[in-house]
Amino acid sequence: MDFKDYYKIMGVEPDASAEEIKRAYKKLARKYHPDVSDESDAQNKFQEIGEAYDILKDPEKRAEYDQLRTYVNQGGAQRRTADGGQTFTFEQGDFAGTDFEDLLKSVFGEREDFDMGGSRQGFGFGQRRQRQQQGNDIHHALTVTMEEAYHGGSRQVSLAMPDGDTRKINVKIPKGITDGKELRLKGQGQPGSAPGLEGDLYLEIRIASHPVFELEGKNVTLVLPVTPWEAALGAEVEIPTLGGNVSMKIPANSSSGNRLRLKGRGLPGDPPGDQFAILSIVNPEVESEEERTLFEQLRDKFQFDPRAKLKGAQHG
Amino acid sequence: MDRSSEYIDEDVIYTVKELCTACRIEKSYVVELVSHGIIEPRDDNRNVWRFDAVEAARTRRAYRLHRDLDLNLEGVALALELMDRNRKLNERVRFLEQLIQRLEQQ
Repeated sequence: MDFKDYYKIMGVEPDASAEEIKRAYKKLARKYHPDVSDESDAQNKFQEIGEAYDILKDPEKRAEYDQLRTYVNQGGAQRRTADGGQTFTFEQGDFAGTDFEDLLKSVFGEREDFDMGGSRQGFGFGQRRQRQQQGNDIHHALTVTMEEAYHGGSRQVSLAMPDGDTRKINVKIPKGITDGKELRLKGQGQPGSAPGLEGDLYLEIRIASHPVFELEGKNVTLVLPVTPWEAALGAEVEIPTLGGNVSMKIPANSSSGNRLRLKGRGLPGDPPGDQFAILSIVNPEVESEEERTLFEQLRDKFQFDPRAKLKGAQHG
Repeated sequence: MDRSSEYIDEDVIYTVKELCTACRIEKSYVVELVSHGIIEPRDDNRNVWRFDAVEAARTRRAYRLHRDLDLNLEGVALALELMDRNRKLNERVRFLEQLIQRLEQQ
């Protein structure tokens, strides 16, 4: 981990007052809270802000961090530990290779937990005290297809874990799951300090867009192209649903935009969703003389003005 | 180690104790959430509180907002309600935009 400029992260000047820092933190925390934010890396940003605020809100820690920062900016220099311990040096190059987090722990962690001094870099620390600690929960988004949401199923997903590992987990996708629902996989989160204290893994379901269907809640919508004569005369057509093709009746004298409902053909559930078909009249391209004549006959035979309602709408 | 899934689906019902374990909260916190109308017990049994998975997810979200943003429970309740509304509106807008696009492509 590289050195982090907490002032930059907080968007404040290095000489910002405690009040300014607090204000900046509150604002950023609301903006990047993973439950509130739409940004994909909100979780990391929120953690970073929290880490920055933890240090900067405490005058003592802030003073130590300021020292560290000055000295990183100077590209390596001599420094005395706050405890008045030994003096040590290292170059910027060395620093970049150091685990910044460890460094932070050694400088800002609970003092009694660390054995200051003695190691290669003068920052060595001993064993942390063992505590009964519950492992953290892990949150991930899981994108599923509309077909999977409809039929349910199981599949193996690869998840990037906070420790950098990739883990393969078999996940059962319940039938009829909707966008935004959470699956909880018990004990699959981060390990705790002892067996049985593992955190949980939460998968938030996102349903991927579909080439044909649109989803809203459990309802499925399909734009259904029809010919002018199917719309005029009525017809029985085959239409796709997530559960397979079904036959649907188009009533005579239908128009573009008319919405027909197939009850219970949406995502399963109690009650199940519906499927809707929105009619869209598509004109054939007129290519032959004969086809042109047919349309001319329609024009001559019909007393039809689809723009009647627009008349009188013009003012001035 | 067995990595097969044990998932909590929508049919799982939590008792107060189970909810506390799953969300790592105290019983009194559940009572507070209910009295603020943030979560609602199922109405199939008035004497014993039971919660479905949606309420459990809501409990966790409420707790996170409370803890991380230093909100009181009135604030949490309002935030959750506005977030719900926002989510529904976003879903609706996305749906309508997609629909318009499809109609234009016909």
